[in-house]
Amino acid sequence: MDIVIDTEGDEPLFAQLMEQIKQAVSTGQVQAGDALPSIRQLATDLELNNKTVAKAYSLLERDAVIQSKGYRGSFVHPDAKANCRVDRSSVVTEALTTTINDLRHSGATDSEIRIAFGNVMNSQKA
Amino acid sequence: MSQIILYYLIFVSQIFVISHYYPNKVLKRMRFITTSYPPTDYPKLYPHACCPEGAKRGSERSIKRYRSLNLMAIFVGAALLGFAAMQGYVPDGKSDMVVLVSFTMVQFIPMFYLEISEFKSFKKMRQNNKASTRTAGLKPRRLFDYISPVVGGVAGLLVIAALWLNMHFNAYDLEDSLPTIAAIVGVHLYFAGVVWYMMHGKKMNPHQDNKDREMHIEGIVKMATFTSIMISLFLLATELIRFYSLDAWETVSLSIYFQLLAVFGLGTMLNTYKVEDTNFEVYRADIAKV
Repeated sequence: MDIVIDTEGDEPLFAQLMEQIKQAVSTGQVQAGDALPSIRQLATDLELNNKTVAKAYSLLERDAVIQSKGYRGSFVHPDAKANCRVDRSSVVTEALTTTINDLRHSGATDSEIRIAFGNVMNSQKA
Repeated sequence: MSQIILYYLIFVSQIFVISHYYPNKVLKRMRFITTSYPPTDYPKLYPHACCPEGAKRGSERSIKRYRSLNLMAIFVGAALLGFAAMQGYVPDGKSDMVVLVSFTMVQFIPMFYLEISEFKSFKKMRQNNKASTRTAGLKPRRLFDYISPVVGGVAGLLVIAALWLNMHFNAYDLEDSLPTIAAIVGVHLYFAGVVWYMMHGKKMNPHQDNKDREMHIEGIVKMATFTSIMISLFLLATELIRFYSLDAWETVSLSIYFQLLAVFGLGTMLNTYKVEDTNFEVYRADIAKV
């Protein structure tokens, strides 16, 4: 199984990486418990920054598609196949769409929603 | 008398193995590549060329140079052999050692030439590579995926055995053993560095298919391991020859060692990294990357 990254593609590099690892899991090209290359190996082979690969790995770990076992490296999660079907971005989009529709119905303007969204995000970050 | 005949036979065998047998295999491989994968269809395989005609001329020139360097080595070997036979030279394990080592260096010149050419080609390929897509395998690279732990263990044990025997025959005097220990440790650090770079370093050939890269790494790891085993066995044999004062046999053992290096080094590499199994489609100009 080869990972192919397009550095001039519209999608961010870490997202391309995540998507392809999930694809490899769902098509059975990598199985639960299989070892994955180290962050350094993948970053060197794809000529990417270590941080880009680390970000993809940490998001995949959050989604329980992979699991880190310390110095032994990263492995495919036992429930990876089921977990990689969960599309977090569509869940977020769906929740936001419902909230925005509710706010519009209550009379809030788009600029008020944008400002409030920005403020909430900034306060959460701090 | 039989020892002299054996000496000459081993020397002829060295000329044949290092300058004729394996170079012919390499030449066959080079010709197969240039005829099966011409520059018109596989331009990325000829990074130095400005046009298909230039690429063809360049590869013919490389083949001719490699063949000429090997022919030169055969000529030097035959001249040395003829001169020694005419003079009725009897090997004494001293001056013939110097001649043998110097001649072997001449025999390895074509291999160095090929290595340097390959490095230059890969460098040019990297400079020419403007593709925005990059590929990588989804399998971790671990040493024992490429070599059996048993063979690796045997190589390690032989190094320890050879160094122990050397120290034992030098009555555990570190000053006497230090040059040998330093040389062995140095060579193994070099091998470790090469293997590490191949496994974890930057991709040398930007177009190389991931499967081919795995095959290449396996070839390098096997070559380094078998060479290490040969070095240890040679050291063990040399220590025994010196201990039993069989100096005249030292040259014969050295020649056998060089030949085994070629068989287990270059031979293993050629058998592991087969040209028939290599994916040359990646060198096409209009390759559609999936």
